[in-house]
Amino acid sequence: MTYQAPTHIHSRAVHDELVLLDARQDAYFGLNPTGAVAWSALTAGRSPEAAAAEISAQFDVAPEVARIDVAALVDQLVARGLLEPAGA
Amino acid sequence: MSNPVKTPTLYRIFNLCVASDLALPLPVIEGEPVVEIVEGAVTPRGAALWRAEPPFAFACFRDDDAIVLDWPEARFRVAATRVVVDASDRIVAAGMLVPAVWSVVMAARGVESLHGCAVARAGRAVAVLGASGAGKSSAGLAMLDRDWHVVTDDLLVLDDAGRAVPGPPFLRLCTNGEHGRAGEPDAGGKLRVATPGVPAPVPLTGMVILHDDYTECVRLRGSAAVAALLDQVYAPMVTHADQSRRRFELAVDLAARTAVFGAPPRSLTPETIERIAQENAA
Repeated sequence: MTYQAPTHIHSRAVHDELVLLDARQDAYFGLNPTGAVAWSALTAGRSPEAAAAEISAQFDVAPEVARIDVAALVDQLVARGLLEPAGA
Repeated sequence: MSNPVKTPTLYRIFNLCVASDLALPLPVIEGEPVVEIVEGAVTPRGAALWRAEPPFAFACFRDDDAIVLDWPEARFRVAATRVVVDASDRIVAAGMLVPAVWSVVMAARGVESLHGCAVARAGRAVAVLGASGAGKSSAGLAMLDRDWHVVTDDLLVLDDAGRAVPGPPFLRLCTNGEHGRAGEPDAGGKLRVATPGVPAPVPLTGMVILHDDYTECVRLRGSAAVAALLDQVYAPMVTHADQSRRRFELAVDLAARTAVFGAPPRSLTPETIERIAQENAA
């Protein structure tokens, strides 16, 4: 499964982190460096598994841990309306 | 017998040339007006767009292309090129116009502003942000004896290049007299103390946010810097389309290109400001 950011969600990188704006809710969110890598991969149309592999390649994180963490992150992002299934 | 024709006086506020029937506490200039200030009836209509929590008696309303700002002492109808003032006390209204109403004028013109004071020396500025009473103006005052100049106080406006735009040439200080300066009382309960200003926008070297979240002066990076800056937008309400996006872009741009620090309220010393200026000069 792949995901996309709704059009009212805006993202900007700052230093090695990512900040997100939900323009409808006037709410702001921050992602740490690993979350920023996951967001970039996911919004580029890559699967959560591929995003986890990228995190394992860039950070000292075991593949299984990265997979679990990315799955949890996707759940949170979807629950907050920051991410949605592609084609939604 | 005809009524005398009022001739508006021209002032400059944050790089805008303003024609005003209302006498403003600003130097008079010559030029072409960009914003008009006229006295006239202003009436709030419909549901409030935003209302302050008690005990503050303030609300704002939408009125076609304008925003009506409603205080017990005065009402203002604010559009990008025209402000209509409805107040029985013209001196109070003039004091509310700068800076409180002006943040909405700037928003109507697509510019977001922050709650802060900026001081400059040798072409570099340091901004001090924070809530009322956090020590912004006092920090600025302490720099005047060290050959620094006030760029702006209370309302911090940045141009497209991220430079601090000169504001009215005065500091707004507490009226307790501890600072030993003479000035004029203003509508916000502060003492307006005239200071030498700067002639042109000044690049920002650093920004310090005074807040209880911090126990010492620390450098803020990434999303922490962005969140801290977003907390310092001048007016809490969203009055114009795309304003959230503009605030977001402003905070991200500032966090990316300026050194941002957090420090406890009333903790900032002149030495710290000078150190920030020196260590972060490009």
